[in-house]
Parts: sequence; C-alpha cells; structure tokens
Amino acid sequence: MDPREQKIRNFCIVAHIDHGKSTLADRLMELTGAVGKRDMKEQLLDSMDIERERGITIKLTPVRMKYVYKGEEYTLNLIDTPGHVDFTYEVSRSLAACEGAILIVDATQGIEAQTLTNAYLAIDNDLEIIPVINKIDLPSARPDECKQEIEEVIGLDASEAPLISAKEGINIEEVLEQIVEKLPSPRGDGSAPLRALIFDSAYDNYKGAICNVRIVDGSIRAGTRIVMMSSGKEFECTEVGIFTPNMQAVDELKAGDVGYIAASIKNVKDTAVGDTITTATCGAPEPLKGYKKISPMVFAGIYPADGSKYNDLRDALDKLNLNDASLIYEAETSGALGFGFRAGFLGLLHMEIIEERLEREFDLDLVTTAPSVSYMVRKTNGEVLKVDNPSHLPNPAEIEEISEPIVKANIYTPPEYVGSIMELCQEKRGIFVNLTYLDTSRVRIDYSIPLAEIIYDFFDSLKSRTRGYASLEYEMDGYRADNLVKLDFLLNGETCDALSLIVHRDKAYARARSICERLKEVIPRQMFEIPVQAAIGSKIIARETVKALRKDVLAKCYGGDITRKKKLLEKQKEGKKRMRQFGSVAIPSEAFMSILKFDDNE
Amino acid sequence: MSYIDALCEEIREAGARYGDVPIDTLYIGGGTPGLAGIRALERVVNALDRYFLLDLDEFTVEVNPDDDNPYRALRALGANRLSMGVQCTDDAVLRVAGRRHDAATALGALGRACECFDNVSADIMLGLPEQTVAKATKSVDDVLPFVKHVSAYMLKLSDSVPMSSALRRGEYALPDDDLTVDMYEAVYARLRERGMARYEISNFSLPGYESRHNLKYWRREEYIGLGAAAHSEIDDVRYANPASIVEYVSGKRLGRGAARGEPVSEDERIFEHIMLALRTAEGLDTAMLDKKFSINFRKRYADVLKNLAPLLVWRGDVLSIADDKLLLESAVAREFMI
Repeated sequence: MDPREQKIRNFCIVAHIDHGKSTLADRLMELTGAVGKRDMKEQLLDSMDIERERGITIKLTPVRMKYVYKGEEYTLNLIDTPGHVDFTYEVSRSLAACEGAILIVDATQGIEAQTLTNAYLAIDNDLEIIPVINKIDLPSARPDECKQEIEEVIGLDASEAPLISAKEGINIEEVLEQIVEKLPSPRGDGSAPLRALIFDSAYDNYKGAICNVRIVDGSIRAGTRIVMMSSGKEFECTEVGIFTPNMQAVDELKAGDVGYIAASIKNVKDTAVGDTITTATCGAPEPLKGYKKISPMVFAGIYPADGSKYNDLRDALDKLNLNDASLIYEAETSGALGFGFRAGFLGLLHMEIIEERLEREFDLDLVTTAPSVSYMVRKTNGEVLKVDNPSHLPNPAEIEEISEPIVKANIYTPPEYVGSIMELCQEKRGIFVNLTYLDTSRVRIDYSIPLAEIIYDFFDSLKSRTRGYASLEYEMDGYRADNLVKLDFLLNGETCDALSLIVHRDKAYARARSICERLKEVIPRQMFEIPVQAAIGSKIIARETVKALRKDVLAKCYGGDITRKKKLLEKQKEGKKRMRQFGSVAIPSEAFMSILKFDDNE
Repeated sequence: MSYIDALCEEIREAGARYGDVPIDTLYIGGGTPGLAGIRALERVVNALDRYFLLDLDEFTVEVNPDDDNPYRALRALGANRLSMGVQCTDDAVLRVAGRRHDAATALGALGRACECFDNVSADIMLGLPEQTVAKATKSVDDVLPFVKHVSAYMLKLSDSVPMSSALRRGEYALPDDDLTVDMYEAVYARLRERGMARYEISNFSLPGYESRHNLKYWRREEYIGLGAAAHSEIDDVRYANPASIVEYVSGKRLGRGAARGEPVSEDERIFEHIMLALRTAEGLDTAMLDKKFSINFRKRYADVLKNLAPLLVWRGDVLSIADDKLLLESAVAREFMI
C-alpha cells in the first residue's frame, strides 16, 4: 500500500441535531492548529448565516488538519455533511468521499432519531464508525447507558468510545487518536489514471467554479487538461489546493487527498456533484459509481414584491446560481404578480433557503407562489406538454389526461410506527409496494406516492407521527395519470393566476373551501366588498366574502394633528406597497403562500 | 416661572411677530383649560388682547362638566362658544372610561352653560368600553336640548384617552370597528333627524353653527398655536412647540424664543389641501387649487380619480367623498399621496 496514503484519514461527523457536531469540529480544528483560537468563530464550518441560524448545514466545507501521532504526522480531512432529505444525494456523495465517520451521541439524551438515520446512512456507505459520547461534563450525563444503547440499537462496539465534552474541550485528543488508529486509510492507486470525485462545488469570483474533490486514483497538478466524465467537457486545470479551511494552493493533489480543483470553469453546472474528473489524455476508462444527474422537483413563481425590482431579482438569481447548480429559473409573467421567474428546486427546504438568501443577502422583498410539480399533459390532439405552472394548464376541454410525477419512497422506521406511516401514505394517495423487516428494530416501507403530495407536508407529517424516528428517501419513478383538476381562485370575479393549483378531484372541494377561508382571513378589508371564489373550470365550488371596510379614518384632525396624520398616512401607504395590486384588490404577499398551509383536519 | 407665565411670554413674543394680523377666531382648549382656573384664563386673554389685533367673531373655550361653574366668568371674558366634554351620558360607561363626571353632572353643566351661552357644543365619544349603540344615541338625545353643535369622535385604541386601570387590565371589551361604525351611523341619523348637518367627519351642527375656527384648519388657512404642544402654520412654515409642559416652560424661562419651523413643500401643501378638505361636506375646490398652485388637478390625479370614482362626488369643480363613504377618508387620502 502507498505509504503516503497510510498517513491520510478522510472522515465526516454524523449526529442528531444539537448533539455537538459543529462544536466537536471546531475543537478538532483548534487542537490540530488548523484554526487559531483567535480566529474561531462559533461553528466555523457552517459558513452561511442561514446555516448558523437554523443550525443546519447546507453547504459542505471540508478542512484539512495535521496531527502528529506517535511521532508520525497524519493528514486528517474532515468533510461536513448537510442534514436534510432535500440533499440526500449530496450527503451520499460526501460520505462516498470518506472512509470513516465519527458518530456523536449526547450523553444526556442518548440515541435519537437522527443518530439512527445518520448512523445507518454511514453504515450503508461502508464507512468505519467511531462512536463518541459527548457532553459528559453535564450533571445529567449517563455515558454507560449511552454505550449500551449504541451497542444494542445500532450494533456498534462502543466499549472504547471516547467520553468527551466538545464544549469544555475534554478528551478531544482521544478522538484524534482513534481517528488515526481505527479509521482505514484511503486505498486508491496513485499510479492509475486520475479519478477525482466531485462532492461539492462553489463559485469563486477569481477562480471560477471550484470543484471540491476527493482524489480516488492518480494525481493532478495545475496545467493538466481534465475532462468531466458525465458531460465530456474539457478544461485546463489552473490550480489545485487544500482547505485549511481557507483555500490554499498546493503543487499536486494525489490519491487519498481531499482538496479543490480550479480550471477557469465559468458555470457551476459543469461541476456536477457526483461526477468524476479524469485527465483528457490517457484518462480513466470508467467513472466512479454513483453519479446521478439531479433535476429540480419543485417549482414556484418568484416575484419581486416591488415590481420595479425585477432586474435586481434577476441579478440576485444569477449570482446565487453561480454557487448552486441545482437552482434553475426562467422568466415568467403573471397577471397578478407581473414580471418574475419560475424557479425549480430540489425540494421545499431548498426553496426556502433560496428565498431566504434572496431576501437576506440581496435585500429583496419577494412574493412566492405555492410550489408545484411538473405535470405531463396529453391533449386531445395528441400533443404532450410539460406544465410546471398550474396557470399554464390548457383548457379542460383540450385535455385528454394529466399525469403527475411519482416517487418511489423508502421509509425507514422502528416497527411501532408502521401503522401510522401506512395511514399517512394512504392519505397522500400512496400505493403500497413493500414492507421489509431489516432487523428487529428497523423496518423499511416502500410506497409509490405522487411527488406533489410529498412536497407539501409529507416530511413534516412523517416526522411528527413518528416522533422523528422515521426517515425518508425518495427517487423519481416516472409519471402516473390520475384524476387531476386545476383549481382557480377568483378575487372580485377575476381569476388570480398566481393562486391556481392542480389537485386531485376528490380533494378539490375541501381544499377550495379551506383556501377560500384562509384568503378571506389574510386579505384585509378594503374599500369594496371582495368576493373570493374557487372554481374548477367555470364552475364555482366555494365562496367567501371579504366585507367592505367601513372605517379608515382619523376622527380628530385639527391644527396640531395635521403633521401626525400625514405621517400616519405615509406609514400606511408604505405598508400597502408590500401588497400586490390585483385589479382593485390589494393582496398581501402571504396570501400566495397561504394556499400551501393545510389544516390538520383536512 | 409658571406655565401661564410661560404662555404669556410666548403670547408676547408671537405678538411681536404677528401682532398686526387681525385675529377673528380664538380657541382655548386642547385638554382642560378649566383646570387652570378663571384667573389664569383672564391673564391669557388679557395678554392676547394686549399683543394681538383681536377682532373675534368666534371665541371658544373647552370645558368639562365638573368645572366649577365658570360660564358667567367665561362669558365676561368675551367667550361666545363653549365645547363641553360630555363623552357619554351613561354612568357605567363614564366610570369605566375613567371620567370624573357622571351623566347628571354633565347635563346639569350643559343646562347652566346654556343660561350664559347660545352656542354650546357637546363632545360625544363613540366606541367606549361597555358602550352600545343605544347608549350612544341616548347620549345624543340627552344633549340635544342644550346644544347647537355636536362633535362625535370614534375612539381608537391608540388615542391617548385616560382610562381606568380596570380597562387597562383588559377587564372590559372595547367595541370593535364594526360596532363603533354602527354607533356613528346611528348617531349621525339621529342628528340629521334633528336638523343637524354633518359638515366634517366628526362635526355636526345646526345651520350657521359650524365652528368657524376649525373650518380654517380644513381649509388650510393660517393659524397661530400657543402653549405646550401647540402647532402653528404661518407663511407655509409649520411650527411645533414642545409637547411636554416642563420642556415648554423651561424653554421660555431660558428665553429660547420660537420653535424652529418646518417649511411645507408645495407638493405637501397640495396634498394637505386634499387630505383636509375631503374631510368636509363643503369639499375640495379644485379650481382654487389649480389657480393657487398652477396645476391641473384633474390631470395630475387622473388615475386616482378614475380608481376612486365610486367613492367620489363632483359638484362642478368641487370634489368631495360620497356621503356614505366619508369614513373611508384616510383610504381615499392615501391614494392622493404621491
């Protein structure tokens, strides 16, 4: 075996939320001198504000650490992983870049839902796992019970699990020692043709799209002509380097290394996660396994709340897109919302993150329509259309059949939740496929479910019905025709295109009623009475009325009140600007999202 | 230096600047001038008389029902109009609202005031806690034998109205907007039956008994405000005195002089004309506006006028809000903001 590779350990940290993943990462970096104590920001790896606030990792930031053990210097590469179902594929690719994982368990909480999910994910990716018991400094810590739980529930030997406190810096050294001792070193072939796995990419203003890679075989240095094996696109490598965690150029990356490759790539879309990079001449014959082209699943209209900010929104999307190849968007026009974009996302969380980043990093006020999936519509004349905006659905008379995307959903759960999960899947129009007992503590339930049902609130319902213990994986599984109809909403007699949605006919009446009620609540009373109606085609199936405003007045307005009154009117006017004018009706932004929310009894 | 000393000092200063302008209306109010006592009012009126060119057609004093029978003295001072803060003639409502007087006191005071004054107005509050439509209309019925003018104000929670602590603790429910509007409409209907016209959103009177002083505000004429928290507008500049009495008095003691003014821009003046005139039944004379500001009102606001058409009424060049839509005045005015 290559003696160089023997001195490398590539690993990730997996844990239930709040069990101390980021804190441990910080301590490891501190102890190995990767980051001086002075430069420590809390949770250094989560580089975006949103990540730090939500406590979730979206973007992966790897870091290289040097550690001397028994007189020998080792290179430890820590690769962080995102933690949400929308990013399952990204997680699997970053796990594929590692040989081992540290599994953190909170000594006061024991094993929790995500501990299990993440541990199984690591096991499924053939990673060697080091269990670590954290927070032993707390009075309620019960490390022995935790060890026992790990052995019984996950089936890992926990007898040597380090008892640490990441917060207090207790026993961190032991973790480092075990990483060296217990995790396997990479076993690539340094002399074979280059194969580098892209596990993430990011855009740098000076260097272009940067690939974060794990070199599996071979080596690469600046000047090498490289090729992306999925697309065949060629580039000249301009720089290779490592993360300290800041980018630092090096002469060469070799088998076993984790680092980055820059090649003046203009578009992050050319640096697809999971793709294999090889050399343009004498390249590897076969790419690494596991590459999947990711395509957006969820579509929504994004509009500037202030119509004049359209160009700002476009620039912001262009900028975000540099870093996020999975975001797609195209210009769209809505009768109610004016000029905006229809954007495609990996899932609802991805959508929320993009919206939040647009609002926060680019200071935009947005109006977002309810998310939709992409429907396949066969018209009576034989023509087939893809429709990802419900308002673009053809006239019902021209529609022969509407098919919707279906996913193969695999749900992993402890056996006690099987009943309520099946009930949920049934409610969501799922078709039962299979039920497998993996062992006494884990069941896999397979369902075929419309994606549209998954994207709304399936994941949240699943988590709440199983107290967080069930996990969900899904992949696209073609299209299935069903009795789908377009539900339109009329405000003051006019169809508001941005509110249209496609639903199953059996659910249309209940949805129509509850959305009308909700719209009545969120649309403020105005100078005129506003009928709010729901319709399928030309048939009205639900109606509510926003009563006319009777009073919008300042009772006293004498000499001393004039300035105050003017200021008040200005403030009110400003508030009204945040609403959308649809004909004579002003609609607050939240109205467009309100059709997303479900009642529990629906 | 007492507050009255400071006020007299301001009267002297203001008189030095504007003393040559004939003053034809005077309004002493904004709270409870009666509390200062008749002697104090005498000093103020004497100062005004000394430093200004008074030629008063209308001289109003705000009084409260529990003031110590000052009517004859006020009359002697030259006042010819009283505005009585009756609020409501239901004892339970008055108690919850934290008023010191009860209904009998209020009606007794009105009776005595009428012995000295022909022109008496009553303030009625609508939307008070525990108030009902019946209680509001009864209040109007109770005061009508005495008054030529009624001001009926719809209470808003944010208004700084003294309230009992029970109310602050939330033990009583305030009527919502709908109920408050119901009260207003009932009161308006009753006043109309009794020959009173609504000449402004909250003001009703028998013909010829409109408050000439207040009409000036809505016609955007110039005014001089004196005392703490008073505003003035002179030569398109607006001045505001400190709202706190302590600050006002110390300012005068240190001889700080007049408040610094804010010029009101032409666009703001145009808007204020619209905002204020649309409160009134007489409406906005757009021909006057066109001439005064060299604009074309109908062109300048073509879109707004089109959108608001169902709410507006034109009589020649005079624009007003339709009688049954007057309570949407703020919503209408907002549309005219540029």
